[in-house]
Amino acid sequence: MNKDKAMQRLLRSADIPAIPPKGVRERIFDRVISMEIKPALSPVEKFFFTNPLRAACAIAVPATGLLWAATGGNFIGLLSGLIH
Amino acid sequence: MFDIIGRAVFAPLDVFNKNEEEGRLGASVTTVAAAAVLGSVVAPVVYYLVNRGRFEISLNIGGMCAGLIVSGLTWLAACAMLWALAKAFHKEVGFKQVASAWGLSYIPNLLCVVLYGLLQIVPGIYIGSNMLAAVFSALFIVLLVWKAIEYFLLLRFVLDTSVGEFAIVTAVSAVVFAVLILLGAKAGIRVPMV
Repeated sequence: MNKDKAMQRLLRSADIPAIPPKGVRERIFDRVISMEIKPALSPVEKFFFTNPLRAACAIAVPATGLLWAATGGNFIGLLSGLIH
Repeated sequence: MFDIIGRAVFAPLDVFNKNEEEGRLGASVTTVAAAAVLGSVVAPVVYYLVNRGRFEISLNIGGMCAGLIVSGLTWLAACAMLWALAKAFHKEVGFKQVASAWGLSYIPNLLCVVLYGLLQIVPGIYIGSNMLAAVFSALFIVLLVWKAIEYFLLLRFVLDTSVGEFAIVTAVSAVVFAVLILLGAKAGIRVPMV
């Protein structure tokens, strides 16, 4: 008998709509709106886009080496031609 | 503003996006203006002041003004071209968003203007040392690659292009940028302002 009453009470309580305390909905909404959405990046994109300056330095070193080979190490002539 | 410029250098994903961030357009315009003024006005004036006793040179005020105006117009033209292409591909991006992001990509241009001006005004820095000349050449390559990465950042996160759109935008940009660089060179701009 007690079990039946308890079951009835449980069913009745389940019918009552759950209302969150005042202000909780607003706080959740604000948090979702202000959440930073990070784009999904491939490893290559991550290398180039998270720190472009570092990526540029990493590329410049072998590129300078190639230039060294192409110009025979005559960087003074190369720069003078570029500047003037 | 300096916070935005700092993030454009060290955390560009925070600023190269479609978000309407307050102060980003101001930081963008400041960066472009600083590069234009340094390249078109400050560098020629300093060059004149340093060399006026040695050579017969004069200040070309008209040329400086033309360089300044063409630098600004070049930036606007590049922004308009990128925005028009975005609109052609039905992208939801405004001119202000494109202009504010593209202007921040002028940080390498600004540094290039400084480096170029320094080498032009004080050539003794590298003449006589092949190693130093190599270091300066490497710095130019760093700035060039950095600028290219910023361009790709804009296409990927602001214009949100697909692979096919990316190829078309890059092909059109290459032609337009070449024309703008030629026009800039005619106006006396030594470091390209695109």
